[in-house]
Amino acid sequence: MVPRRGCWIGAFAIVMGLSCAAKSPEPKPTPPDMSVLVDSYEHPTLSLDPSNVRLAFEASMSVSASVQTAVELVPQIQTAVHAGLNADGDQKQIGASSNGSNRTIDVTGSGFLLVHRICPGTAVGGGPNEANGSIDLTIGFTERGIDPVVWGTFNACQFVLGGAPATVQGAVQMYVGENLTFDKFGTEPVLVAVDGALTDVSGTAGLAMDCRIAPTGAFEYRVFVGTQHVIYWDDLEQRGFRAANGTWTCQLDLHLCTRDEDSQQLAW
Amino acid sequence: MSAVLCGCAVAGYAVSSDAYHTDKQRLGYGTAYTLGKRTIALGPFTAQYGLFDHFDVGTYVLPWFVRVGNLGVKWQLPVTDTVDVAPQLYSFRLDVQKLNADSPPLVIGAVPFDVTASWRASKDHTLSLSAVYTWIHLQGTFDQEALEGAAAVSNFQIVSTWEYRWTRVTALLLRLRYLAHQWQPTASASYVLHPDEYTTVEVYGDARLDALDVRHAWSLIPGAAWSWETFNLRVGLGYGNYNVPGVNFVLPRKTLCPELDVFWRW
Repeated sequence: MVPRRGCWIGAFAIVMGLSCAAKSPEPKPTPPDMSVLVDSYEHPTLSLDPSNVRLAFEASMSVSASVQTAVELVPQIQTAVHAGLNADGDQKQIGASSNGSNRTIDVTGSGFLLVHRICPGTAVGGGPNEANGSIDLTIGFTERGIDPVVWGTFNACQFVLGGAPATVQGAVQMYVGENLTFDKFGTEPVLVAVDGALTDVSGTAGLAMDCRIAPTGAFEYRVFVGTQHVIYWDDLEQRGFRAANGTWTCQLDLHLCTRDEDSQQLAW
Repeated sequence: MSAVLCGCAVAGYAVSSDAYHTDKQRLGYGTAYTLGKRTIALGPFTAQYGLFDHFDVGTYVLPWFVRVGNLGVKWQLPVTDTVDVAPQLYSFRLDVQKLNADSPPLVIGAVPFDVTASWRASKDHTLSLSAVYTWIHLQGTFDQEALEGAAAVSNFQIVSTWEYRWTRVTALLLRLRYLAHQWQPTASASYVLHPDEYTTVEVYGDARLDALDVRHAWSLIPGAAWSWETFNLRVGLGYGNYNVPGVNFVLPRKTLCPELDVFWRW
């Protein structure tokens, strides 16, 4: 005897509840707007002249410690991003396994990653421990590569800063540039903004800082004189200012800056 | 989640319909044969009932204990005196959070559909060939570690089972399984990977997970089936990519592949 197949299959599907509606994919979160900050690095507003060069110099020195902290934070961020993106020779592979197994993702569309990275802590060889705090990052992607802004938080993240234990709490934003392919991450300068607090042996202090860092170790940051700003730059061999009226290379110990374009000098 | 896999793993080998190895009572798992009208096969792993002469309904028992709802049907179509063909359809549904409230939200749907042809080459030898398509739908967050690395993606497998009836009670079996193709995960799921011991990555969006790429996986499992008047036992031990029976998730690594089947038939 042949059963009435339609009845059975219908009942079968109902029992199994497979007719439930599919839920929409998780919406891609909107990244913070870093366009104003990015633009301010491209377009310094202050023209250096004899009346303000000393102020610019003093301002640059006053924030250099915070900048150094931010510079040392960047590898922590980049490590977390790399762990999520691990290009591993294939520009579209994400999340390759540390043990070499085939755990990769081939991006075929738009989406995002949530990366949770346990901080290294202050003890050498301690292994992963959530008590050491963490970094949570959101990384958007398309087939073209990483979205321009990566953002997240330091959650009581403990690590060694300048040879001493330190803890960072707060928000972080990182501008990696437009159309950065996965394999190019870490090879281009990144603009990092941190807004939080740093606790070290001297106590807890606010940490609100932004800087742009190149893979070579060269860095630059904004220096405000009043409401206007110049960009202090240091390529590890030379240093100076980018201002609205040109790029200046300075001998800070001599209190002398020379404009690259026409060798005009400023002294203070 | 491991409990789910174990439950399916053990129970999956139990969808069969054996009693004394006779012309009318034949192995059901991996073949085109059904129980027969008003016949019950009941064990700790599965329950089956011959609703009509060539039509069975069945369910995997153990998965229900871990809240994996499942139900299946099998329809045997005699083609010639020695050849039978049987389409079979099963369906599984698991809401992982009902099993473990601490788990990320994930609903797994699996619908295996296979067509099996069995050829009685002689009185003692039967050869079966199955084409198995399994549709997998994930909705929620899929943590590969939680699934023991199993590739829960839609796939197409070819399974060949050779049976040699050694005695009236004992039959020898050899099963070869090959994963010929797999499809990409649906986009309504997210995936959790652990690229190293410090890092957890959740992936949301359209992505092809090489982590779940187990194409060309295979397994070869020799075994034996004993069938008495009502009691049936089957064991097997082979090697290859372990296939979670029923839902047809495939483990990416090769390992020993056990089979176990116990039930009574009336």
